[in-house]
Amino acid sequence: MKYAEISSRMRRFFELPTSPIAVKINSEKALDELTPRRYCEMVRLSAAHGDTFTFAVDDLSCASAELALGFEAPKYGEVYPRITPADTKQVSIAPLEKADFEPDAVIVIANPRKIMRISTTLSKIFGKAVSSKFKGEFAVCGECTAIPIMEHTVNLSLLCTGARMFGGFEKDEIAMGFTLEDFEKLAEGLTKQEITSALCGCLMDDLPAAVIDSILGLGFIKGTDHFSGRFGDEIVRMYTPKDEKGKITSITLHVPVKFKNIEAAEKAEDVASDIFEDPMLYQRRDNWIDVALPLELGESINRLVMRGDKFNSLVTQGIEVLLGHVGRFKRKAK
Amino acid sequence: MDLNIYKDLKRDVEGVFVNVHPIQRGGVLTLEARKALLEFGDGYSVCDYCFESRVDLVQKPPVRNLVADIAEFLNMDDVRFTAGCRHAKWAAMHMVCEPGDSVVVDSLAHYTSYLAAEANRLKVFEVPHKGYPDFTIDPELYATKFEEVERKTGSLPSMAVLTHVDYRYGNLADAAAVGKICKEYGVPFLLNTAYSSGIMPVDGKRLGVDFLCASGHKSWAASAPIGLLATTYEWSQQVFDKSTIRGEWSGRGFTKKEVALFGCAPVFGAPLITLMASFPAVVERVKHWDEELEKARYLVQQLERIQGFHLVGNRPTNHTLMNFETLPLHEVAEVHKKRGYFLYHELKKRKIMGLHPGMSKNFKINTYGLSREQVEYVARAFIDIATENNIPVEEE
Repeated sequence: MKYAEISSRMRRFFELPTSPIAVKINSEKALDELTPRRYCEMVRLSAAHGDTFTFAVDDLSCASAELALGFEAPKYGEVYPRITPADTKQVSIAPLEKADFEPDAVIVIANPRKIMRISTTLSKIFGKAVSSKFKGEFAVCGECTAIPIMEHTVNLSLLCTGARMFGGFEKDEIAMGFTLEDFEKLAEGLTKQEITSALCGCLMDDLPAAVIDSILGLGFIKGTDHFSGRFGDEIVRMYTPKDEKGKITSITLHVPVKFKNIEAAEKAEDVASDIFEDPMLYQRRDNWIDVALPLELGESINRLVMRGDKFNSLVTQGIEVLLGHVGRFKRKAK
Repeated sequence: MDLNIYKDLKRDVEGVFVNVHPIQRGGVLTLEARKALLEFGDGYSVCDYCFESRVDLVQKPPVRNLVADIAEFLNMDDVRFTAGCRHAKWAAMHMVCEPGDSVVVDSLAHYTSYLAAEANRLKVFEVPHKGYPDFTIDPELYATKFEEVERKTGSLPSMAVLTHVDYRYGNLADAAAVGKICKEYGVPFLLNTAYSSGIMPVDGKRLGVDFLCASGHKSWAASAPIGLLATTYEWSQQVFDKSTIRGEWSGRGFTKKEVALFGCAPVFGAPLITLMASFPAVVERVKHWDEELEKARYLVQQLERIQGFHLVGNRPTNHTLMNFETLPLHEVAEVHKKRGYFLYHELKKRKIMGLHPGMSKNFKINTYGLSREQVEYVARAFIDIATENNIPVEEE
């Protein structure tokens, strides 16, 4: 996916007011002629106005950024976070959609609600909670740039006083730094239905994933309104009816049996009445007889599938019973 | 920006392909409409002689006559054009219900019925369907639901909505029975006829309908977007209420403009003129609905010769829009290099289009307006595809 597409997909999905920012350490671009300013200010301007910057250490007015971005090594003690080894010569910043370099880090600026949504999506895609290190210092330069680059991880920052006083960040803004790889995965994940929970109006929209997985595990495939699967020579349909409160506490298994014409199906109804005893049901539909076996679950399907074996054996036995009866019906009625 | 992609646009469908698209059959233009489209394709073309500030009152071309004739055709009292059936539903709800009210909707309703309620800040209560394999809506459940709404909210719903023919299975609901229940409870009744009026006979008064919504581009052989909102004189003043706003500084007023139609429904060129030009053919074609049903039922009979093909929804089908479950096609798709798209490609090779690309577990198909030969051709194509892929086919 191209950077412009990634940027627009992220902005549209998470309703981001500003562009994600691409950061490249030691880019090969020509230096811009700049008056010294803070790194976080350049990031904010780039995000909001679309400006691009390529700068060296002399263009920075913040000692913290000099250390965090690896322009200088600390003279006394250790500083965390920072890019090591400290051999940075220049840094390029651009809105992701305009980046003509492969970024080392990508920074997103947004309010906490939007960062919360990004975090939820991240945890679904990566299958784990988002963990972060922040201390309100070395924020955009360290927490959002150095940590993703050095530790190959996503990191959240609540920003620092410098970013808020001099960098132009609003009171309700925070930031998150990513590696390019993580950012691309996040953007790609936005197209997946299971990630974004897109509902299409299908009749089984609200079936939980665990229920669907359990049913698929039994050999069914999922359609838009019921499941179906081949068991022996027969295709068995499974429907998940709702009670009046919208809960699923039963399932029905169906095998429609076809007859040559309506008259033949009408005749077969007599045989059906002998074979299909309570709780089995049959219904003539034109030249077909739909045979159904309702199975009471005794609790909601959501709970029952958590007991794995119980649900599986209930359905498996149900299929056996249904197919046994259908077999007899076909032999006698056809 | 590559502007060349907008030049020399071609569809390459009609005349070459047999189109069985579930939502397109009733909207295919008549020859008369195609001619009128060339003449009146410009944006505001029907407004050359607009003297009364509203499109429904234009006399040349004869829009005013068309309004009266459509009302008569549907056996309703008054009609307005809308920007689609969805706009008609929104408009009726907007003018009849208050935010916070409840509406009762059948659970097979098109998404735009739900969204019309949502946009009007209404609570939606659903009438359940009966589930697999018929998915029928039981009219009696409207009464049950009305009472549930009254119990839960303290008042009856301010509208009941029924989808005359649903988009999933083509089931024809018992509108007259629902209309009767609505009258008993005093609940205004809106019937969505997007898939019925214009292709089959619909008599609003016999069905006890207060608001009848229709889709010109789905079922009246018209170009999109155009819909119809028909009502009775009991409701027409309220639903087609005129603007009363005054400019706070200028004093300007627009008292001929109807509020829920945005003053004058935005259907001024191609949509309205094609609806008008097709209208005589539409009046005629609904008389031949039984022939259309016969062709649809023939297709069911033929397709069900293929093992595992099974019509879902009411049997025998009462509509030309049908839904088939087709597990064997899915089994072929699982091992085919084109995966789920194999069916789409196989049909395309045979010059048949309209099935949703990627679908193989089930598909929707519509035979409305196809000739008997075309329906036979479609049936043969499916049987050939099945045979080529080793799916057993019964002898005739």
